[in-house]
Amino acid sequence: MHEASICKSLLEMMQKEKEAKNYSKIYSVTVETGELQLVVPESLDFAFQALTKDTEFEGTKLIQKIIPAKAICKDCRLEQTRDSLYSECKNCGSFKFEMLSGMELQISKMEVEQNV
Amino acid sequence: MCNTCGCGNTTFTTKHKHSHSHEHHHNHDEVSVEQKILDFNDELAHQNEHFFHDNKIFCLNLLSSPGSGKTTLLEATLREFGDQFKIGLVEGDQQTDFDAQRLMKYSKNVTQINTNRGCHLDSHMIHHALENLDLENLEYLIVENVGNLVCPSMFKLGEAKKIVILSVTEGEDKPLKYPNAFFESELAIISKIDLLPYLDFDVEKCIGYIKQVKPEMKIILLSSKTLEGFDEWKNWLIEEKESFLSEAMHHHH
Ligand SMILES: Nc1nc2c(ncn2[C@@H]2O[C@H](COP(=O)(O)OP(=O)(O)OP(=O)(O)O)[C@@H](O)[C@H]2O)c(=O)[nH]1
Ligand SMILES: [Mg+2]
Ligand SMILES: [Zn+2]
Repeated sequence: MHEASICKSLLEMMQKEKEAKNYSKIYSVTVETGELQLVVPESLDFAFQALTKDTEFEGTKLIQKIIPAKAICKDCRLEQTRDSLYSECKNCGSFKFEMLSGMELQISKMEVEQNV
Repeated sequence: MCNTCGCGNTTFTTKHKHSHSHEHHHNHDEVSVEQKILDFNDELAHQNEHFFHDNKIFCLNLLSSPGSGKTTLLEATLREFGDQFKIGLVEGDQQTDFDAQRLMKYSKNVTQINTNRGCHLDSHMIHHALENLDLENLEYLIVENVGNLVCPSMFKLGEAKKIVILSVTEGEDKPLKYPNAFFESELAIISKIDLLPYLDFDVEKCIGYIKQVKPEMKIILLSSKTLEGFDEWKNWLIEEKESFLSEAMHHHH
């Protein structure tokens, strides 16, 4: 449900970038979402289609990339992937982690048409 | 139009329908952007946070599923220590001002936000809710977020701490089913413990699940009906506000 407000923020950012850099068109936007972040790719895609209809961004492609969750165990220092926020250390069984990735929600790149 | 947040609802220009169909050759480039999508919310949350620091207001953001006892906890808090602490309240619900009405029996310093179709509060709503509160000598600002264990945990409001509430009638497995809300919070309240004799709720198991998501979580068990656990809740409010204030004193930007 919150994918709609996330999508609105995304579109606001695209519009700001477009104006600031004077792009005439955005062909695609790549969004990176952490594996453990609360975003459902299908819902974001649906919101994007619905909110761009009949706007300057209709036809812009939304490309979603999922970033795997990685963390360092605070007890044994082993770096590892995590399947959930409650999974234990694969080496020592600890639940104390420093998250390195997996919680992102960001634009990474866009394919644009530059005004010359 | 708001000066601080620059709001004035962004609208997207309507696409022009071109009648001509010839194709131009354009510069088709890939540019890297690297921007957090919730930057707009986070920046305004940061401004709210500064405001709270500067005015020595300890702000708390309450997260839970619908009906876990947030408003009842706040009613009892106002009733029991409302004369000792100066508390302001923001009530977030999709619709109605029922919760604000309940709290107004105990305090005038309450404001309601209706999110309508929205499933969470955001920093912009809080920024404007402050206009409806008496901030003079305010010590605590407690925000009751929309009853929802998912979305609200993603949107910072400018709070010093998030508190997650789980009532014993919901079952002990919620920390694993909705880990993000627990991961983001610093205090977990297990509420309605007066009902424990009637349920199969396993307190130890629940605490274990919470610590799986957040090993350092502070946990308080309480009942807003019998007031069991309220001493601990009061101490937490006092101690955490103290450490917030000493941090605010040494915090320079
Ligand atoms: N027995 C018992 N019932 C409680 C307690 N706290 C709340 N309740 C009851 O639980 C129900 C829901 O309580 P609320 O305080 O309205 O819950 P809420 O989290 O504010 O609900 P929403 O704002 O709708 O999400 C009410 O019927 C309360 O009387 C408690 O400590 N013990
Ligand atoms: Mg309520
Ligand atoms: Zn380990």
